[in-house]
Amino acid sequence: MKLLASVFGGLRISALPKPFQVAPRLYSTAAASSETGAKPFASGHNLDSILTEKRKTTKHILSRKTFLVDYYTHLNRTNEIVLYVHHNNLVKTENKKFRTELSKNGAKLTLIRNSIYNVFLKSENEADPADEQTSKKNKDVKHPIAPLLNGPTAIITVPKCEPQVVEKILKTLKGANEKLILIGAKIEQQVFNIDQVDEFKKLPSKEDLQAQLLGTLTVLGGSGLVQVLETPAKLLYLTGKELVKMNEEESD
Amino acid sequence: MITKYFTKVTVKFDPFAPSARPARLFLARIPPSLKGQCQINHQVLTQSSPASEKPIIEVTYKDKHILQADPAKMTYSELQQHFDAHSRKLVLKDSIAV
Repeated sequence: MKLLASVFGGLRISALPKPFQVAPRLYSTAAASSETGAKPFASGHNLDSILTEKRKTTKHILSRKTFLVDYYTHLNRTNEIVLYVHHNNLVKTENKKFRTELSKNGAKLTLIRNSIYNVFLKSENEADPADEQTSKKNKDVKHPIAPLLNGPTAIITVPKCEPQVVEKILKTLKGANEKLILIGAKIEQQVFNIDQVDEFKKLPSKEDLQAQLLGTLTVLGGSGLVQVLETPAKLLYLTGKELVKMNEEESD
Repeated sequence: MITKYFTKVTVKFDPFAPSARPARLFLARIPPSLKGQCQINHQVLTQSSPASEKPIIEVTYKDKHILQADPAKMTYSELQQHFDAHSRKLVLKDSIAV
């Protein structure tokens, strides 16, 4: 609050250079807020109006619901693997144990609120899932992950798509017995059931696969590959040359 | 739900099917304080699992009585009533015995 007050308090319209004065104001002055009757900050500025002019969210922009939709969006966009688990009455010690075990592998456990997570899922590929118009538009969308959001659900997020990490996490989950049950996954936008996750964890990592492909190409193709890649450009050049020649002959 | 007479619980569910909801809610209602006396078995089914494996909830009581229920045909509150019926008998027996 202090920081905001100092930031906005230090800005005075008249002190700004002229082009900035005509630009729409993102915050109201002390006089405006007293007219509308909105609760002003100590410095006389109204944070509500600053924020709501930028985003029109379904719930109030400073509400926990909006925060959660934003947080789930952030988690899903910054992590390539999202594992869905059913959690069963975790007591404090278990909770701490699982979280530390998961964080050793770079993963994070987040207990989710199903209906709010569903709001994000419905507008998964939109710019702002919390936006009022967007969520109205996607009201009837049924996401393939949505059936998993029944009962106590949590997500385990892994930033990089690495099957070895998933294997380690699955070991942790196996040790957890009925406390944490894997029920599905979303890996790079694809929905997996537990059988597919089991198959996925056996794969070598992406870098390994790329190195293998490169190795095979150099062994098999060698200089031949370079030729193949060059051919289209060469053909185009030759055809162009022929056309120019033909044109010249016709004009003669 | 009266859970203190449960000695063994088996829950099988397919998380992508509608029957997962009552099954998962049932699992969540078994308190951690029952850890020592009640054994909990679970199995997550998928579309590729054999046809013999169907979603089911099975409860064994202290007096070895076994009750089964199909989560596909019942809501959570119906399941609760179904399993409470026998639990209440045991409660009554207990109160008479003392």
